[in-house]
Amino acid sequence: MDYHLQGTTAYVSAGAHGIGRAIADLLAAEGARVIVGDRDDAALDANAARWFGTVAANLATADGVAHAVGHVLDRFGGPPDILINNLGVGDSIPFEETTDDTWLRSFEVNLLGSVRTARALVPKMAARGSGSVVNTGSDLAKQPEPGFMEYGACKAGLLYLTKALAKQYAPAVRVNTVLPGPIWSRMWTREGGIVDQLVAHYGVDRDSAVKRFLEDRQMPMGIGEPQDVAHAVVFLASPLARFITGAALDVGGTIRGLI
Amino acid sequence: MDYSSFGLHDKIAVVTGASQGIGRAIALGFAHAGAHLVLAKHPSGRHEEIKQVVAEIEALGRKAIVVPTDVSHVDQVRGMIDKAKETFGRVDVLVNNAGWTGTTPALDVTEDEYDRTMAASLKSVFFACQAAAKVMIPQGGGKIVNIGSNFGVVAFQGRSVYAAAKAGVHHLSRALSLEWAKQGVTVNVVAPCITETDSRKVILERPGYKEWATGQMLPVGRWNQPDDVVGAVLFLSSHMADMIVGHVLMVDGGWTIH
Repeated sequence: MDYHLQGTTAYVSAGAHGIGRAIADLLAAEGARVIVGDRDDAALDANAARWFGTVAANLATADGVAHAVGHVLDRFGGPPDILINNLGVGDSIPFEETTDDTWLRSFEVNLLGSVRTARALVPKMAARGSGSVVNTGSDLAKQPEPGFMEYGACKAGLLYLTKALAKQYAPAVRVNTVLPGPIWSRMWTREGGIVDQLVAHYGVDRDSAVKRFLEDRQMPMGIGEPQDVAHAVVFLASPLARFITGAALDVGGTIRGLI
Repeated sequence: MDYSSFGLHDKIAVVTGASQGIGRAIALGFAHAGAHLVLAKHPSGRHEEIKQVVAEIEALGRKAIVVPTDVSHVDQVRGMIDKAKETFGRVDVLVNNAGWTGTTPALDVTEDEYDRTMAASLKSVFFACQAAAKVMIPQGGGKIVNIGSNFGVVAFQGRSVYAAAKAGVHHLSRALSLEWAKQGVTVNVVAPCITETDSRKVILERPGYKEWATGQMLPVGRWNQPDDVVGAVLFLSSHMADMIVGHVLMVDGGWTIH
C-alpha cells in the first residue's frame, strides 16, 4: 500500500502487542519513523528492530506518559506528525462486582493515558501547524455490553474526547478514532480473556462459544485481525483522509447498535 | 495523487453521476488506481463533460463506457448494471453517487418534489445495490459505496426530504450489509458535507453562506473539494477495508462534530 507517509514521524502508545503492534508495523512499512511506547520492555526489546525507536514506560501513570512523551520529543526534535493513542484493556466484570478501584484503574488505562499524551503533544502539533491523531476506541463506545461497563464508559469518553479535540484543533490537527469490534488480540486470547469468559458464559468449548457469541450479536464479519484495524487507523492518519476529522470509523463490529 | 497501490488494478467500477463534481473525481480516482469504469450519467445534459471524463480515463490507459441512466427509474438502473456485466463480465465496485434535491421549505414541498427527491436519492440506491449484489454474490463478492450526506446525520433547513432520503441511504447500507456481508458484499457510506462543485455554486454563493459555514460549521475552515472524498471511497472499495461493513464514514471537515 501507499498511504503517502514516507518520511513522516509517528508515536504509537501501547504498541508492543496486537493492534498497536500491527499499527506500528504498518506505519513503518509505509516509510514512517515510528517510536513505540509500552510497559512491556521485554516485548519492546524483542521487536526493537522493527521500528525507529522504543520507550518503556507505564503509560497508565502520569510519570510514565511524561517519560514516554519526553523521549519522543527528544528523538524527533519536536512532536511527531502522527500520534496513535492505542492504550487500553478491558475485562468482563459483572457491574455489581466492580469496585471504585476497578473504575479508577480503568479510567487511568482507557482514558486518562490518552488524555495525558494528547495534552502533552497535540498543542505542540497545533503550534507547528500540522498533525494527525488517531485514537483506538471500541465498538462498545456506542454499543453497550453489560459485562464491560467501565471499559465501555471510558471508550465513550474517548469518543467524546476525539470529537472535542478535533473541533478545538482544526484545521491544524485532525483527530479521529476507530471503533473496532472483536479482534483477535491478547484481550481475547489470553488466559482469563474474553474467549475464556465466553466459554464460562455459554458452557461450551472455545470455538463453539465464539460462534455462539457472533450469532447472538449478529456479527456477520466474524472476528477480525489486528491488521484490519491497522489499515483503518493508518488511512485516517494519512493524507488520504485530509478532510476527515472528528470521525469514528467502525471496523467489523457495530452494525446494529448505535446509542 | 497516486492510488496505484490500492489493489484495484483491472477492477470494474460503476460510478453514477460521473459527469461532474464528486462523481467525476471518484471515477478519475478509480482510473488512477487502475480500474476500468462504467460511467452512469443522466441522459440529458453534460454530454461534453462526460466525453472529457472518458478521455481522461483513456489517457490513463483504462477503459471507460458511458451508460446514460436516469437513476430515478428502476429499469434504467438495472440496465446500467446489466450493461456493466455485459461489457466487462463482472462488477467489482458500485459507487452510488447520483442524487437530486430541491431546496423548498417543508411547508411548500409538493408531492412531485418529494417523489423526485426520494426516487433519485434513495430508491435509486436500493435498486442499484440490489442489481449489483445479484452480480457480486455469484462472482464471490464486491464493494458498494453509497454517497451519503452530513444532512443525513444533522438536519438542515430546506432539505427535509433530502435529509430523510440520505438518512435512509445510511441506514439502508447497514441493513444491506447485514444481509450480504457473509457473501462477500460490503456496503458502506461516505458522507460528505456540501462540496464545491458546479451544481452547488448557486448555494455556496448565497450572501453570507460561506462566512457562516466555514466560520461556524466547518472546523477545518474550508469547503469540501471533490478530491477530498476520493481517498475514503477508494479505501472502502479496497481489501484494506474488508472488515468495515455498514459504516457511515463522515468526510465533512468536522461539520457533524457539533
